[in-house]
Amino acid sequence: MEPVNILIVDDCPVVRLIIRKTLQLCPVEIENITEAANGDEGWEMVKSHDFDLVIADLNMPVMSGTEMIAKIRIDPTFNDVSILTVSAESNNSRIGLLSRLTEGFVHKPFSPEYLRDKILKVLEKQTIISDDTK
Amino acid sequence: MRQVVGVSDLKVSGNANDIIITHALGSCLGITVYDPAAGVGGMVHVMLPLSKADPEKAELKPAMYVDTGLQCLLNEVYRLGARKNNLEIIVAGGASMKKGNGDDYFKIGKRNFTTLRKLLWKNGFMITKQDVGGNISRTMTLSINDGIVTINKKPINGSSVSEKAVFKSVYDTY
Repeated sequence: MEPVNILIVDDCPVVRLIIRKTLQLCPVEIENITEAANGDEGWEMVKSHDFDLVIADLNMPVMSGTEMIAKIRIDPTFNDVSILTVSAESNNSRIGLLSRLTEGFVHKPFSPEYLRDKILKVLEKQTIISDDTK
Repeated sequence: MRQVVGVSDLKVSGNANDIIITHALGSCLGITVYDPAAGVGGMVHVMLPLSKADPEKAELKPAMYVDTGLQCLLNEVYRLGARKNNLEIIVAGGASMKKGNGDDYFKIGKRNFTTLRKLLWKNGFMITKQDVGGNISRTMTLSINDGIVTINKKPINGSSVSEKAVFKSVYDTY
């Protein structure tokens, strides 16, 4: 597996730190971890970088995670970007809707081990797909 | 060779023929660490969360407490050639010891596991696999040859129905 580029979008710096530390403890080679504090910053980052995975919160100021995810999914340029949402969202219908646009959902509060397993699952799926398309 | 880890005890090995086993994990925690590259592993059977409860006893029997026990286990496996980045950690035990409908007043099992998780996180480790909690007694076995950890589970109260969990000491997906 090639080293991966990851974007963390969350308005809470502590959560970003926990996600970053979890990523660093994952058995995955990471090229770069970038952080953004809201959906707007995240969307700008996505447009200017080549990310393999975006880990995004939903409820954020300026631009919500839902809006950012919709922008990413509408644009075919970013078809190969996997998205994992990490949120305290508890509305099942909203989570269900999101599951069509994203590769996974992690409910806050989460354990680092649970997040790690989800990240590994998403990256593994991504590797299988990209190997098939080669 | 079969090495039995008693309560408040630890064993490490780099011999592929060794199997390390600990019995009767209730609220106690069984922690195994294994480095697949070095073929080195070890197990500790800790009883209580923090050594500050009785520092003198902790000095005599460091494997009694989660904090000192984990530190000793890591030091021992590092001495045999294991490396931090390769270590896979599997945890079993931490059961609730309540009897019948009674309350588990001291919640030792839960506190043991919480202490361990905090320690691991602070020191940059993550648990590879875990089988904790519930109201069951566990027996944990680590095979040094392949790092496979087997956990046999039996209810603490009543029925004799037993279960088994087998964890290969490497990430399933990677």
